[in-house]
Amino acid sequence: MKIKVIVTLKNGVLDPQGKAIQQTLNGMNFGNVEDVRQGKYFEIEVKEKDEKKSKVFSR
Amino acid sequence: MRSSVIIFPGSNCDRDMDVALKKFGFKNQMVWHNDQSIPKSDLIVLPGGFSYGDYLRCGSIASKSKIIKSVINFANSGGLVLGICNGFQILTETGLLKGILQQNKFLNFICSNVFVKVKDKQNKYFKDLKKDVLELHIAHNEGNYFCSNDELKSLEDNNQIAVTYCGEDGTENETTNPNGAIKNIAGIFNNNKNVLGMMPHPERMIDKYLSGEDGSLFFKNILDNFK
Repeated sequence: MKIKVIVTLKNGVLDPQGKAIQQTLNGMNFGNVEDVRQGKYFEIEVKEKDEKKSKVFSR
Repeated sequence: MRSSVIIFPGSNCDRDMDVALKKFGFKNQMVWHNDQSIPKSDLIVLPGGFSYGDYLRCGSIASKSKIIKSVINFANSGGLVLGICNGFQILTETGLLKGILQQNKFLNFICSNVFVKVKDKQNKYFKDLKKDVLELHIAHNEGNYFCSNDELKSLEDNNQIAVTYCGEDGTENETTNPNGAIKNIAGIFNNNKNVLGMMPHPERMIDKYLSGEDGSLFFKNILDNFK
């Protein structure tokens, strides 16, 4: 089973990298981009078929 | 010869470059990334550093900054554009140079002196350079040059490979490759050879009280070729 994990900063915490990306997008004439938050994305392959058990593992 | 050094937020080799250029007689000006146009120049330098904190991808945000349109126009009209280190990364991100710079093979930040071999002298940067192997300094985390096979072939066919990592005697192999770059590539040209991007820092080798003077040869050579 494949577990996909997305890691970002908690809501409300300033994300300077996201802010920089947002400002750049605005500069590229994507004026309607209001906020960008960025993070990491993992794909984890586990030897487990049971969804519940893999969820426990991924925590 | 007039030159302009572009300052991005996070550039940290801009003043070194300014000192180096002025030392050899360039009339240098510093240009802020948020400006629209570049003062009349014969050479534009994108300096090393960590533009925009290397956010998103090294050089990617700088490649969308306000000033960069003028840099691209200048390059397309035949002007000399030199990108050192982060500047090289920015040039690949703008598309002026082929390929990309990945993280170093062993995932470590490298800061050391290296030898590079000058592979092509039919250009305004290296023409009539007296040495074939230069000792320069590298300091980077993402210097592992990579490109597709087709791109590599066209780089080789048009002699667009500018400098490669080598030993003191000029041997190129895996042991003289600090970061895993394909074909030991340390720097490349665009098609017309007016745009040069390279990882090593010539501006750090301009005084015998620094660790060498091979960078001086590089700058003097650009001036000599301009005259």
